[in-house]
Amino acid sequence: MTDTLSRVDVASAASTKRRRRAPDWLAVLPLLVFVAIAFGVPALAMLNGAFTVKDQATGATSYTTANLTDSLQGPYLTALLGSVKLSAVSALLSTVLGLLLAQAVVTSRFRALREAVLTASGVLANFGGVPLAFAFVATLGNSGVVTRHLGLTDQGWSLYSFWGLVIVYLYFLIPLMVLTITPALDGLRSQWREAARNNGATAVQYWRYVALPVLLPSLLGGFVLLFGSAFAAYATAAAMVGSSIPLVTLQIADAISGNVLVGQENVALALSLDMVLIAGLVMAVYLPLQRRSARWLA
Amino acid sequence: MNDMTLEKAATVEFRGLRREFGPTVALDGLDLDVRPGELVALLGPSGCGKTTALRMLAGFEHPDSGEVLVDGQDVTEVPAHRRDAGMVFQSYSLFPHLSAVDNVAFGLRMRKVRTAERRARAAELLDLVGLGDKGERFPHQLSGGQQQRVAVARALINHPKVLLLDEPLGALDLKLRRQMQLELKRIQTEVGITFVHVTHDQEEAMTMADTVAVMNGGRVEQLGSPSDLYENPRTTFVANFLGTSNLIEAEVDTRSGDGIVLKAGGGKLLLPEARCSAPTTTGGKVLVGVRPEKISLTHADAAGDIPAGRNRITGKIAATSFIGVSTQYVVDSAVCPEFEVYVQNIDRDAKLAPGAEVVLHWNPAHTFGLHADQSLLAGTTGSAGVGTVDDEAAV
Amino acid sequence: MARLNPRPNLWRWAVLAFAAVYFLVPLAASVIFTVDVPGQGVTFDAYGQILGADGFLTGLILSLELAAATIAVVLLLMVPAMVALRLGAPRLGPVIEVICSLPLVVPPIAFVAGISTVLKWGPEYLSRTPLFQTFVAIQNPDFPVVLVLAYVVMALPFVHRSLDAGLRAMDVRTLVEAARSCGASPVQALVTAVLPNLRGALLNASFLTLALVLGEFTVSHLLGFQPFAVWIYSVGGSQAQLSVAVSVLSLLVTWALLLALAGLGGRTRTAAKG
Repeated sequence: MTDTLSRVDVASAASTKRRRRAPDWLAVLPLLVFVAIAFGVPALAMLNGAFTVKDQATGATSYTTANLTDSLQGPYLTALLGSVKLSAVSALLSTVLGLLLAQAVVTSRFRALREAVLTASGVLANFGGVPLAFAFVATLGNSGVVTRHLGLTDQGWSLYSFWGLVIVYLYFLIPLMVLTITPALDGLRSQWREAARNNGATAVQYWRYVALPVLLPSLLGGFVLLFGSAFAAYATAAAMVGSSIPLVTLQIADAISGNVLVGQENVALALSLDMVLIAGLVMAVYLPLQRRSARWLA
Repeated sequence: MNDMTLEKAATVEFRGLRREFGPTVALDGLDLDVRPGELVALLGPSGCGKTTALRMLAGFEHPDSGEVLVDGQDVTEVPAHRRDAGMVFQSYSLFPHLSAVDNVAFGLRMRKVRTAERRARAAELLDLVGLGDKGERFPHQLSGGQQQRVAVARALINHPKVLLLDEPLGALDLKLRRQMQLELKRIQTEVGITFVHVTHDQEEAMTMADTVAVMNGGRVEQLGSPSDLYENPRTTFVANFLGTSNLIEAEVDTRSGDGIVLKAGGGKLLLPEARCSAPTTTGGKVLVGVRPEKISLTHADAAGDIPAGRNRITGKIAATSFIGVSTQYVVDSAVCPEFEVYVQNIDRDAKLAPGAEVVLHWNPAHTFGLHADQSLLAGTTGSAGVGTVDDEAAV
Repeated sequence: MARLNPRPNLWRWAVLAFAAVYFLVPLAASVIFTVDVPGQGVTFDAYGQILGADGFLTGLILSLELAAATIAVVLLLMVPAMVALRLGAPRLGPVIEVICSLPLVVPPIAFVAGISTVLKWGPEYLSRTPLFQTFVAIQNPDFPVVLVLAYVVMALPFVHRSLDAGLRAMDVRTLVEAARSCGASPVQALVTAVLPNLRGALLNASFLTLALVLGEFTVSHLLGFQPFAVWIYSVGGSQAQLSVAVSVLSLLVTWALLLALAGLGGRTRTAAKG
């Protein structure tokens, strides 16, 4: 008797509790369902596809790691390495140049300059894709304004090369770095500089032993973010170089569009999985760094 | 040990320091001498130039004119990183990426001292500030008070001749501040070097300092020991900024022995001549001051019991507030509209309630006299130039 | 301090000059490229042609429609969820944060590879089921719902960050309780007390989503639709001047939107202060 009673009590208590909580769950539920369908299904399809091949003769599918192995060989490997190299070089250059630009602006006495540069960075960091490619084609392409006026073609210049792409990528990566690193530079307290000077540090020693170590998590975090952003970029490269530079995004696009050998239809999915793994690694590095710098510079 | 440490202590001299930031004059010909081994407090409201003066001593600001001397040597042109002056900042100045012991050892690292040696020396200093067991902690793992102790140890690592403290306790809560005041005083006694301490908190200055320099408008208004400044203020600014003063406008009437008889609102008050910083020609105006706690309060009915020879003023109680150790009365009188009186709660007189007619009386030896041509309100909160602490950093 | 050490100013101006050249020359060159046609002299034909160009209006309108739908859906999904997190289920906060960060880990090109795989299921496995009609419907080239689904997912990280910052700046619980104690229903409390204070964050989120959709190329191109960015790409091959002119215009429009947003945000802040 008591047993049933208490169970009823528990049940009714639980139900009132649930009823009180219901609206909170309900409000979150549509988001969860939407993400599960619009994101979860394609992601699982990609994961599943990356590990399956379809037998041309029978139409039967079987699980295999062949796609992944293929995606790490031959032209696919070249493309993957090409993307990594392009992203690493552009991200490194943008980190250094973005830091210099942000420092020049942050320590300036003119507030208007700071506001202007930050607003412009906000726009330019989003100015990727096709328009950016065309702006550079008009500037430094074979019949671009600067190319023609300075006769760059005679000196062996081509925009449609590795370094050409780097120059274009810097155009949205440097502003992204400025936006990322400015809060960190603002967080560098003037007391730290003065305390270092007071302890006998020269200006160079201050940067070597205080400012750069304190900024290091932010700089690394910024680098990783830029790397990820350059790595995922497709539109700019597609509009500029077609597929004359081996990049993993161009390879995947090619494969999706059907330009692929028989039996390798799912290599695009395996390449996508490679990209997700690399991007996941990037986030795994970025988040802890972000947290540490937030703690130091709060 | 004591002889050795005293040798390191240095004199500090400010000679006619002047500095303008745009239209504001931060320092207006500041002169100040600090004796070796002394703890001197630069006390004043925000914007009085005390922090600017300290930063000039540290080498972070350059005077427009004038010079700074340490141990008799002109250091005005010496860059900050070559001065023998350790500095403790208001707050959050510890390097966040270094542990406490590495923060303290930073100065030795700049001098390329070997790791083992600098860690040993840093550990010694952490012991001195009572954090011997917290050396491996990072700043965000330490409380505000502990961070400031580490900052003190860091400032002492390079054997400075002077330690500079810029509102070092400003970010701490009241209880911790009291504790740290005593702690800093102990450290100063132990290391024996000269301390220059900037603060806007008069209580802190009086608790810690051997000598207090009250600053106002970019110069030293009055210099002296805490008790001397409190008992013998020479300007209304000092009288009001250090504690509370009742100021009465009066006129010199006659002399009697080494005292001056003054007329104030029909009554007569006696003022020892030695305690008057204004000229005392007959008919001249003088501001008469007396501290609230020196005054006794007697109900008008019992006025006959008041001993002869005391200064007296009659009035009516306007308000009272009971604050535990004492009761504070505001009394309206003909000579001064809001007379403040603090009476210790020994035997409370129930008749002393608002509206009661009372006689205020005090020993004439506690009266002081000030020049009449200055504002009665200088140095009170609310008057120009007295604000919050943080504004000064922005100057 | 500056007067003690004049050297830093030199490097500062060198860096700023370099940045100015690098960032302004492509913009200036693009404008010159569009108006200074070799053999024809200065002409503004390229800009005149834009409106009449084949596919321009269709592409732009499609992009704007997609943007409007995306903004509506993403805000309808995110605002109630984020407010509810603040009010009653803070433990779900990290879960939502991770979910909204997932699209950052999956680059658009990988995402579209997954989507196109799923879309192939339609004809391959589902052609006899009612679901097939759904698959056809969401790929209607006049208004591809599948793009809205993809864009909402891609916008989640920005929208989450922006709403989170906006909600952090105010005490949602107290606001709602104050509104409720004045007799407002839960929905009224949300609409009259919370949303007005979130205006800056909502605008910010909407702008970022708009910029994302207008510039989006990867997903729409590879799924074979032709919104604005894909149209620019497709005319790039044949009409160089025209495509650059549109690129310049699209940058100017983005810029104007951002400035307008900054202005609105600033006004909101002053209003809140007063």
